[in-house]
Amino acid sequence: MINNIGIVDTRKVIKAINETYNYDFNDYALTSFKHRLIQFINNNNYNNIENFIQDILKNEINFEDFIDKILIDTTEMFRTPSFWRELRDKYLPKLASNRDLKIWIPHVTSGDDLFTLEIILFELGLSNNVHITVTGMSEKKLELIKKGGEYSLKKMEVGEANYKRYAGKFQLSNYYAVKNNYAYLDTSLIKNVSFKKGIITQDKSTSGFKLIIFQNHMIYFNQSLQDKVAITLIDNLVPAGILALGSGETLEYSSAMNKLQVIDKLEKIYKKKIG
Amino acid sequence: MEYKAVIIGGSAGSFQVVTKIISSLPKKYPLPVFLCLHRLKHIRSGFVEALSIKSQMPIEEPTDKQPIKSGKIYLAPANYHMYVELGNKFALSTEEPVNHSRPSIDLSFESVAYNYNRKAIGIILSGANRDGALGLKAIKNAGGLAIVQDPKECQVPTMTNASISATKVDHIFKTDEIIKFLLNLR
Repeated sequence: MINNIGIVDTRKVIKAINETYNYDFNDYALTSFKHRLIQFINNNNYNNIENFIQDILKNEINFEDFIDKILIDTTEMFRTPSFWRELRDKYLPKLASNRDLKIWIPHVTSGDDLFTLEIILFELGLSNNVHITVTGMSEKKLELIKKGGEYSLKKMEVGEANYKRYAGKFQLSNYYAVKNNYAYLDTSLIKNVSFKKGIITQDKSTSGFKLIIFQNHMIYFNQSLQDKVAITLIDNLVPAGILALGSGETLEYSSAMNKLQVIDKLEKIYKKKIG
Repeated sequence: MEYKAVIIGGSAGSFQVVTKIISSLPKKYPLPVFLCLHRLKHIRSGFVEALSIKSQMPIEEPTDKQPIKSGKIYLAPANYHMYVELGNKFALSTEEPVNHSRPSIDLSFESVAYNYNRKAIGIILSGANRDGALGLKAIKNAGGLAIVQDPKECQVPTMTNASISATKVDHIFKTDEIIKFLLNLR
């Protein structure tokens, strides 16, 4: 069992991944990436890092599985209830009033934000006014979301508590069914969604969004990747379009900030400057 | 200066101790002080304000990638893990809770150990679970200094006892001794 790996070894793994699978993790935030890497290495019963690197170079690891496990998917439904309330009360009714609201949820690692948003839209009666594009790197995770996720009941309890604080109309349990101790969200909620596999920094095919929800993904990137991703997000927003980040995130230190205006400092809501 | 950072971890029964410690530190304390305290995840505001009442040092909850500065107190924000990252910055994370906790004291302490090595001081206070024990061990193993609040003085001694079992701590101090020690570092 490996308890920790140093920077040199982490860089070696990243280099091997890049050489074999042509995907670059160099600009991921180190600490969280390392945690997931250690988990992956231990779950796959490697006793030392050299063997793991050799297997990557020989293309003997399952890269889809690696991507699936390395991406952090442990957020919550209705995480930061005050943000979702604000979105419900101040933004969505206005944005969706003329039936052509395009929303992008990029780089998904779980269905949490998608289903949260869909429940809000459903309760506002706006589901049919909206089209949502969901992109993600992990095929496995996208497939899971399409099936309504597969939530432990404990995770649903967390979601239920958040939903109460959000002050929704019903109960979260109205939106899922339990089978064999797992909760599956109602897939009729996501009829207005297109799913696409894609890497965030390479995504050029999408555009014209009025709202992009990108919560708690920037934290897993270093500053330089944050800047690159911020530019991609901004490029895909219409002028005056809205970008929502997680409550602990900020673009204050980003070179992309000159293209944005902060409209809610607490909830981390930004607006694309016009022109 | 021998040290570069102080990190304090606490849970049940630690609020008054933390308040007493930070209120004793002068405005221009020469080190950054990190606080990783178990807190209600859904209450985002009020904690910094409550701690600030008696503190001369400015206190804030860092955002991701915020640069670390001496003379400031940083409180791990609700429902995030707080790490010190290379380049003297913070990083936040929504990875799974550890010891049922997010923020996890172990994870914060481990990142401090990794980045500051022997220039880190870790302090574990009163608390009702074992979070922090492995983190303090990581600081000690990296050559840093491990301090534990005297379990006899703790409202709930589970956390301090777990830390003392996990590693050979340098000092077991009462609150006043912790304060005296931190002030003597100047």
